[in-house]
Amino acid sequence: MIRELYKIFKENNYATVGVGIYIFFILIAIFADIIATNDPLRINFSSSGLARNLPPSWEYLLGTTSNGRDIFSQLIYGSRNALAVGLSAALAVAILGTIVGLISGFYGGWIDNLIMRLADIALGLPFLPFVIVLAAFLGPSSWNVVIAIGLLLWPNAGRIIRSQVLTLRERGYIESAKVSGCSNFRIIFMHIAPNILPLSFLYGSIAIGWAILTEASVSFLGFGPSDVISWGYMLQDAYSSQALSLKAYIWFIPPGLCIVLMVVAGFFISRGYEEILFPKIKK
Amino acid sequence: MFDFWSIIRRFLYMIFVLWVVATIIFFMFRLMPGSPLTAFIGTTFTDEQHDLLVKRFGLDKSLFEQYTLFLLNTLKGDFGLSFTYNKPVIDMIVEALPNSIILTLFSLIIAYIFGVIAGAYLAWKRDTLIEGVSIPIVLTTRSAPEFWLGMIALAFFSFQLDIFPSGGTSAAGVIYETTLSKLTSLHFYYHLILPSLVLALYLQGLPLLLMRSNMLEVMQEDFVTMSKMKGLSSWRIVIYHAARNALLPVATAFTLGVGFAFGGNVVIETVFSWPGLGRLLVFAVSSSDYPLAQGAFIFLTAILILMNFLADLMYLFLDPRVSYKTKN
Amino acid sequence: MLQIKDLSIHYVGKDYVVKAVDNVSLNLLKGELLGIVGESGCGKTTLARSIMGVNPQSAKIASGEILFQDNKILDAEDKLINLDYKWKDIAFIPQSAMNSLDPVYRIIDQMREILIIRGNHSKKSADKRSEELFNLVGIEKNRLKDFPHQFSGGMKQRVAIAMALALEPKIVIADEPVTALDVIVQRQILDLFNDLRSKLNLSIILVTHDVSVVAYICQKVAVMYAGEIVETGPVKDILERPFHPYTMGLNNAFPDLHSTNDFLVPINGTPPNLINPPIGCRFKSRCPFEVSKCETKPDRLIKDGREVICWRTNDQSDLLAKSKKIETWESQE
Repeated sequence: MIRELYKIFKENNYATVGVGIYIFFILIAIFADIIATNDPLRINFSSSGLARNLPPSWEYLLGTTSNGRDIFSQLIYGSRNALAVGLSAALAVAILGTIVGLISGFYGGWIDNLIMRLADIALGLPFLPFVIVLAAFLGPSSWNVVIAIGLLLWPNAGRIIRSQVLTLRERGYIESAKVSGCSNFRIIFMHIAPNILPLSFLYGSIAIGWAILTEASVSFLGFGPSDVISWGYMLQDAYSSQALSLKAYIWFIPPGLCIVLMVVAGFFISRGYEEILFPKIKK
Repeated sequence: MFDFWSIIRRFLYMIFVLWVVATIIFFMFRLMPGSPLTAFIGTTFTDEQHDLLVKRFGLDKSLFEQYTLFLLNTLKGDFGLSFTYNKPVIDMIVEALPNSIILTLFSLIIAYIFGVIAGAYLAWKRDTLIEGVSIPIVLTTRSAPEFWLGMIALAFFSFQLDIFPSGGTSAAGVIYETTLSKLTSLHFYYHLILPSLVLALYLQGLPLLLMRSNMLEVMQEDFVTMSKMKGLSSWRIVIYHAARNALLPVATAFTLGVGFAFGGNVVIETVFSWPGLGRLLVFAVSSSDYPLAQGAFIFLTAILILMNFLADLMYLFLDPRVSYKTKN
Repeated sequence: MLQIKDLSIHYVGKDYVVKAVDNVSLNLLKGELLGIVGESGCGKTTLARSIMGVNPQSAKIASGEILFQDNKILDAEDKLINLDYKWKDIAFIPQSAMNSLDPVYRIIDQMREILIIRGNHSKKSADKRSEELFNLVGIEKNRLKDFPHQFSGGMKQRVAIAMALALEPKIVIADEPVTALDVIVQRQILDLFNDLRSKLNLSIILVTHDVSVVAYICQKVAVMYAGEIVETGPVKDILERPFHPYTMGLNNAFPDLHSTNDFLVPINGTPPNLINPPIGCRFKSRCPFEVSKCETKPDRLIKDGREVICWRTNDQSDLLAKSKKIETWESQE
């Protein structure tokens, strides 16, 4: 029986599960207003005063925070922030990394050198500390995470794409395109880019995970926005409200789980993708 | 034969990167909008105090002078005095540094030993149920925010079961006389267990997946098939030949991991109130203690770059294809 | 010395079976240099590797057996019997394009590994033997301390040969040993083979797709097509008076400086799908001399001390003459 289940899972392929998770969260984000039972930021009161640390009930499906806010609603609305940050960062990394990789790989020479040196420098800055400092200076905002990711994480995608371009550049059809008078621009966009885009996708989908994790960490440390509900914020709230000693698992486990799901989905998708892009020799 | 020039070249390059990055930090901390320095200076001080502060931080000097002073001071290890504690920043960093180092090394070593063995094992178990179940589990550990894992661990093992302390390097009221006495006290390591295990849980995913994927690749290599033809034992083939080849990138990853973990430890140190460099940075930034923040950040950066350099060297040493040139 | 009896090897997939080697029988005598020649995908590498017992797990021995000195070393139960023969009695020289040496260990360490673990040498005697071997294949002994990547292609192949001979095997199987090397080096390596064969009284199986290699050093040749041995015999006979049409076509397709033919004609078409091999003769769709009888599988004939599977062996001289004309092959689609 277990063996059959396992076969189904394997057949279904990681990518499908990953996409499924994303769709799930996208739907939640879109229909948050309908699904959420309360305003996530509203401080609620019960008959006996502030509705703080209440256990799960029909009114508050996951209970309330120490400030009397509805945990469930916060969880639902948190998906919006996660998706917004995740997707923007993914776009930033994918676009930057692709452009850089294309230019660097195709033109070579001093441009390539320069870009690779820049990459080394970007990789020389410790990521989380940088985000923290950035957040501290530019003010708490979700976009700091996106900017920081864009600034520091493009080399990962950029390098791989660059080496792909280098391989492609030597291929025959590129040579013949050049000989027949194609402009460089045309060659890059019509011939090389289509072969690179899957890789961009790959890194994009991983970047979503990075972004969400980073945003969560930054919020947890207290450098995130306090007027926007995010899962990271929920965790920070829980921690500083002594939810741990109160053993209020229901408060801090769900947001973490949501993060895990979103990030794992990214990994699953990139794994499924990899199998299509780079099929391994099976025995 | 052995390529010394490439070592020197890489070393000089490291210095170059260090310099560029230091420059970036310089500008970052001074010129960015909302920089604590400008914020600090701009608060309600009298004109006299204002001028005094300006002089004290050398803001009346030209940018170039400030820059040179900055570089010199950094090389000397003089990062100024902390706003909050009025202690030399360098002292505070030196105090916090061993905590971070021990936490990082402990966690990484546990993570990598486990990861390498588990990764090789999973490669062996290709296309089995064990693999099908294990991979998603490993991916999940890599997807969980470290601090969240820490929170769960704390809530469960510390608050609920009361097995482990809830943070810090020592119980309240206990102070370590010297760094050495700290590092050799069981008390210290008792406090270290939970944070380092949580960190290890998060970190092991990388070496595991890396080792597994390398092993799978290497096992397809021709020389592995040849070893089978020679009649060598499976043990020897897997460990002596396959694993040795598969370990190369893992060793490099380890060194890189040190650099990365140092910065990433920020969150674990916060959750467990572990007084390391990361926690120092967070504290400095949130209290606008600009000299401390700058100093901590520079240190973290320097460690990262140093580790990148060592990782580069490591590959040089471990892969004979890189260190030995082709003849004829 | 080595007998392959009715060996069939099938690759078993999820819902298909590839009959890579079908009922192959071969005999290798002592001191003989047997060539197995055929195009890519004909099953010759699978055959060679099964002798060494290293086919992938999906390859099962469906029937038949392999005997070395009248002792079974492999059979259809798929149990490898007595693995000790590996490298001690039968050794393997890989394709020259293969990455057959562990890149992180020096040659001398890899030699010691075989000699000490599989042989009975001490470290000292192993090193001495390694020097002997390098001498035998023509490499300076101080190169023993080098890493594999420090050798050129031809040198690496010599190292592979030295390694194969380490435990004084009686048989050496060489799988495309010179394919990726340039012509001059090819010749050197092949001469080395010949030299070693006579010096050490080795028996060699040489697997290749290159007829000119076969012509150069083999004594006996087995021609393989679509998983079957279609013809065997002394090299001169195979080249000058082949029975099987495929062999005739093969001879045409390769340039030979001494031949009187001044054309190169490929055999049109492609080898059959081995998942569903055609009924009857496997070559019939590409054979210009096909007749209706070819719908049934030809019997294995022994004629003039040679083996062949073809219905038209009696028409040999006629077909041979026709095969030398371009039109015969070009008209065949």
